[in-house]
Amino acid sequence: MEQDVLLCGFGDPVDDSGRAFRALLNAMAHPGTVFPVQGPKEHPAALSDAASAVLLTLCDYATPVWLNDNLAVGEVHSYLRFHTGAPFTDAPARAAFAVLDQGFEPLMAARFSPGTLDYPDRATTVIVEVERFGDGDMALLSGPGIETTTALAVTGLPLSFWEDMQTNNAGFPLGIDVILTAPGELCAIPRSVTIEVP
Amino acid sequence: MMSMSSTDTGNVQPDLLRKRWISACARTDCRHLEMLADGLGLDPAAFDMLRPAENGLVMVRCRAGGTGQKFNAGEMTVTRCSVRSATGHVGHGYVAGRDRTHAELAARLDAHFQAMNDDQAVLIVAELEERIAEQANRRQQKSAPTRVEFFTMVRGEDE
Repeated sequence: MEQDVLLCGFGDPVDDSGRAFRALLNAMAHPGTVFPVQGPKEHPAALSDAASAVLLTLCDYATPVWLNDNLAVGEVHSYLRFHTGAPFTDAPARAAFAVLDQGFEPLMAARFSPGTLDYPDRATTVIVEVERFGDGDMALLSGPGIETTTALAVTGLPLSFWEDMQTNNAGFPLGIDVILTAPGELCAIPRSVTIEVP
Repeated sequence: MMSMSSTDTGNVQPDLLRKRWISACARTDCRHLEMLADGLGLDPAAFDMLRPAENGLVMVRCRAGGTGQKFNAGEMTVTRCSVRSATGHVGHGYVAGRDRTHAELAARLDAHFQAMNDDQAVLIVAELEERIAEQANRRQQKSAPTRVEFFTMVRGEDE
């Protein structure tokens, strides 16, 4: 009868996920701008509060989730399964959402689903955990949602990530969308932006 | 309806026992559960809400006889709630209807019974089951005199 001890999700699922969804909408509409997001009451130790909030808000039974090896632990599984009902998949290309903690391996982006020309919305949305925003490697973003350019500084991402994203975004309208999450904050890099690494 | 012996207090498998108390808590009226929870000294503040009580619909699937095709009989309203006790036990409450308090109580009691000695729990569960059976019996007796026999028709369940 022993089971994993479950953790609390949102205290008020309707309002809290609504607020997190608003933060995500703002982030997607303003690529490269960092937005605060309130985490759930409790979250697994392996996941940040922001990533937990995103997953609880977006996932449901129809969205297969892929987790990298560090995250594919019982606590994360039971948390997501209990609160969202989302199935897990071993194949990154079949995932609707993917979560990676520190470390985006070179050519990682190509392993996920870029969608199809008929259904570009079927691409994987990749949630990448980073240490923090505000210092570290800089990238200059421009494109829809950005008046001129936005400078985004992130600590905890390898340089290959930006190269990978440049390749990914060159394939627009296909390609993955990325949500970067740090404790209490998130920032989106949709496939529509142009990335320059100074 | 599940058949259930209300006097069975002998050795039972823990899983089956849990099934029994979850079922009994779901079918006992809310006011009685409240009294029971108070009697056991359950403090609502000692439980963390894993899933606050929420209403929803559940599709009830049926099969006519043992061999008939499965079909959807219709949806019923269900309220569910999950809590975690201070001892780390996770309790679930699924009750028919829209009574959130009932679902919360059922979830708390489930967590509490898990932390309890089985011998103690079985006594409480048997008492609840007896109460449910008694109520069903009373209802049946009340409606029995209104039964109409249609002599011109053959009823299926008689030979």
